[in-house]
Amino acid sequence: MSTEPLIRTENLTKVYGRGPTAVRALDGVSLEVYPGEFLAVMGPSGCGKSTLLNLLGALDRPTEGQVWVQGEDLARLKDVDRFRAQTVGFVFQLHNLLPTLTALENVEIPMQGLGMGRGPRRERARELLARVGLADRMDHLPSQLSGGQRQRVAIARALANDPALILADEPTGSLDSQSGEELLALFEDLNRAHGTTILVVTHDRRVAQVTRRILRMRDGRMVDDHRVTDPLEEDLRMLAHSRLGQAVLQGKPVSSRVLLPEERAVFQRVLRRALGLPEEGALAEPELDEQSARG
Amino acid sequence: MILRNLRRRAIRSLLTLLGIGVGVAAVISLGAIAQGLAQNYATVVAGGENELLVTQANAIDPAFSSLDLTLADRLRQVPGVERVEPGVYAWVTTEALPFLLIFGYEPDSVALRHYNVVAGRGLRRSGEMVLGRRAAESLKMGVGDTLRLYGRPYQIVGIYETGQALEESGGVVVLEDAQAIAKKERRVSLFQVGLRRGQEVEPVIRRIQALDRDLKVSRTGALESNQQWSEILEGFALGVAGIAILIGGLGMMNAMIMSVLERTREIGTLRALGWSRARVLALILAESMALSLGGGLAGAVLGVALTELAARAPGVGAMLVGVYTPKVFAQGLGTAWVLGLVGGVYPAWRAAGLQPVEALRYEGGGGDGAAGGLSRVGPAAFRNLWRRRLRTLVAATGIGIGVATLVMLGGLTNGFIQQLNNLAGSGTPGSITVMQKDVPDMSLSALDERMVSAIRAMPHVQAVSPVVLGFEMSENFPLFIVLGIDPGSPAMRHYRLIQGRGIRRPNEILLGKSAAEDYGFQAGDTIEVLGNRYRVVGIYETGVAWEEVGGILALREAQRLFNRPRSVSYLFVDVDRPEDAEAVRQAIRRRFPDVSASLSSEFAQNTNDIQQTQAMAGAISLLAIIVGGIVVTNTMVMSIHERTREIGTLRALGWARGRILGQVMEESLYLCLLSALLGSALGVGLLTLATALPYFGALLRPVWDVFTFAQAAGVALVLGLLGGVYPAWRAAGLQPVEALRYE
Repeated sequence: MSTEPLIRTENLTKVYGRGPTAVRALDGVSLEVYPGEFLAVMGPSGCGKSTLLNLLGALDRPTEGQVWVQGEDLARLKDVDRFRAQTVGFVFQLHNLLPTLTALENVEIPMQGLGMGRGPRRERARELLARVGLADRMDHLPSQLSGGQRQRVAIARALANDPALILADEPTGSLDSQSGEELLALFEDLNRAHGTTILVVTHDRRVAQVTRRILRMRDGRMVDDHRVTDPLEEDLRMLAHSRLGQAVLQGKPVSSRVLLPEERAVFQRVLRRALGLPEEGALAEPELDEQSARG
Repeated sequence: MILRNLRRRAIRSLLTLLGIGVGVAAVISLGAIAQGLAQNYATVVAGGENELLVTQANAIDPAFSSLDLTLADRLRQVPGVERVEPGVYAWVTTEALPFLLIFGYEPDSVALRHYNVVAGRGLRRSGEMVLGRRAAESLKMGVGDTLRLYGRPYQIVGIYETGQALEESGGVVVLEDAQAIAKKERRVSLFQVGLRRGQEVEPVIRRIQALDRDLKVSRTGALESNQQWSEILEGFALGVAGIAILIGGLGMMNAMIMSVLERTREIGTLRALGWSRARVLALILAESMALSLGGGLAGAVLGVALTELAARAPGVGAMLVGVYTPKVFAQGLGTAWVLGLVGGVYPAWRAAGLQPVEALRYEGGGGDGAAGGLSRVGPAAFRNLWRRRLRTLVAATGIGIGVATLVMLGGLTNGFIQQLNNLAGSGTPGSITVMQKDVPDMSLSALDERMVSAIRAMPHVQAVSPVVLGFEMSENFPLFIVLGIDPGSPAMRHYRLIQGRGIRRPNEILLGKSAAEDYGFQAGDTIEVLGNRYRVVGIYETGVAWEEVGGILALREAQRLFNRPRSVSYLFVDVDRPEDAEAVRQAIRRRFPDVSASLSSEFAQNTNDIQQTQAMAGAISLLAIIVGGIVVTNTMVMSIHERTREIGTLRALGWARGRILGQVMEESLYLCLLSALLGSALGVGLLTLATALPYFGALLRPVWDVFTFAQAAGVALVLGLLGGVYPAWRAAGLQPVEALRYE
């Protein structure tokens, strides 16, 4: 792991609205991501995953706190457009391809943002589409492509200016399971073979199988951040962060139709072990946060 | 629900409303002005009660009327008549006032009491003038100042008011001065006839009528001839307003189509919840009607405001005093109503025809509309227009109509100029056209016949041909132009006979080719012009349209027919060598200060008629630009609105604001370019069709030049820029995060 973090955030907070109706979408998130990492941000919808992504990609400005990317404070960025075109590559849930442009032209968009000439632009776009396996679909319009193909065009587009960081928001969200897996394989390959740093926001548990670090968020806070070692452990962690798992861990009432009292104790023990918590004693949520943050 | 739906897209609704509003405002404003002009003019010639007005029959306006002064004595002898006062009306043009009405009366006449002197004193002798209040304001003159007309000074001795804008925009001089100004020697425009107290009116009218069938007798204040004026004016006003309305209506239809399209899912839901087709139809139609009636009301307010503004304009303001009749407002709101109905029917029908299942499945926003022949052609900006082909086409047609109007006016004006330049005697480069200076209308020009021999005696002058111009506008002949030409004069050579022979006697007439065809005459027939019978002895052609829609009489006969002895309308002067033309022109100008002598090639540009036509074309283009600009803005606002997410994506991928701005502007320019092409084709097509119209069609000889089309393209360009600015600015200002989140 290199010494300089690619991304560093400190106390990152985003509040939407004002007064009593204000929503803290992101609440004091501090995070470091190193070059070459492949990480997933997981959590229920509304937990602040997408907000975090928007702040990291300089699409939005934080209410409090700071973000540094490649050592640069995003709040002091001179040319946001250049940053968006060059430093990060975005992949959206709904691919967001421009329907009037062909696959090739869609890939050229970020290069146009940097003012690249037509010839080199075309050539690079061809190369990228070939890399994602769409060499024979270059002149198709998005409406003539399948969901998985569209998402691959979106990835080629994100790679256009060879960014240091790929930010993907629910990339598998609108795909069937096979296309989803192909897409993840593509991400994995990019990360392994080219060392591209990839941050994927998802609630797809398959992602856990390919990423090497998983961040979990709840109510705008980071509640879990650990490196992936064992797939079984990942599944257990997932259970631990589920609504049921949380209720069991925090000693909240659970219907005996779901869990008998003795089962409940076993379940609690297994989940504690998965999260690396001490064997005994009911723990309140804040402590759980600290624990997991340390772990 | 209806209002909430409209409020949901507030800017679009507002722009649509505005587009219709401007159209309705044009209907109301121009209608009120036309009405005002007609009423104004009718009351100008109003005397006191118990009075009759005697004018020349067939004169469409008192200023065209010409009667022999000796008629006064014969009128006085009519039983029942107590008093007969001659009056002269003339239009003159001054620098500050394009239309100045000059009234001439005897200083002691009862008619003068109508002019209520509010400053200075009344009229006493020749060389004095009492000026109307509005004219005094426009000319910036007061009591003691001197106004020059045709080189002669008139001392302003008083200022009058009558409460009537057009009258107050004129001046009163003694009869003989007015006769000099109007070139009516021993002739007058009208007689005001006072009747004996208790005298029944009808018998007197019959007795006067019996004196001469060339007379028209009307009760004061109700000059029938003005009916014709007001009809022409109203027709023109409605024509201009119609263009604005058409453009606005297409914009309206576009907005409603878009509204239906983006609510496809909602409509599907309504249908799934049990709403009938008819009910959906009624909803959409009601939205469209609400929008157009709102536009109608806004237009009414705007129209009144514009009219009031026009009336305050210096100079011409007096001509533009609006009169608001219920009819004017009914027309305005009626148009709005029809627009709502017409603009709403197609979208409503489309909405009602949606299949609930399909509608529910519809993916909103820009969708995947990209398909079909041109979907991969051209730059992104062009493809966005192709994506919404129907909307683009409707918008382009709307703007195209404006462009077409410009192209048509341009072609017509060019044709008109060319025709005037081809007038008789001007075939050679060195000929000169002489007419009276400062007359607002060509047919009002009057020159003393003695000028012919004076100019003929000048050095380098080869020949001088006097011409009398007059016309008949009646049920039989919608427009019949009569030229009086000396059969022996060189000007006659201009008229090539294609049938029959030349004129030898006063009761013979030559007919123009178009007139002969339109009215079905040939050599040997008998034709009745202004109540006189003539034998058609020949048919001619000249290639100049307006010369062919009438006939030629012998000069003397034309002078008799139009009651203008010893007076002619134009002179055509042929010089020995083309190089001499300029010197001769200068000499004529020096010798006769109240004529305008132009080289024939420049003549048309110098006439007031052409200048008025060009001013009118300018006004119409302005209207087209305003309404067209609104339509373009609206279309582009819709276009970027549905592409909100796409714009967000582009921003997230690193496109700068400037690049987005540029693309939207580009799109707007493409739209207008398309409109320019469509409009030019439409203009040429419509005008070509118009030339096939009977009677008037022959007068329309469009001439196309590059300038006309360049002008149309220029207007389209301005529209594209104007209409694109706001949407482009709005698109560039979108926050990427919000835009991406947009559903």
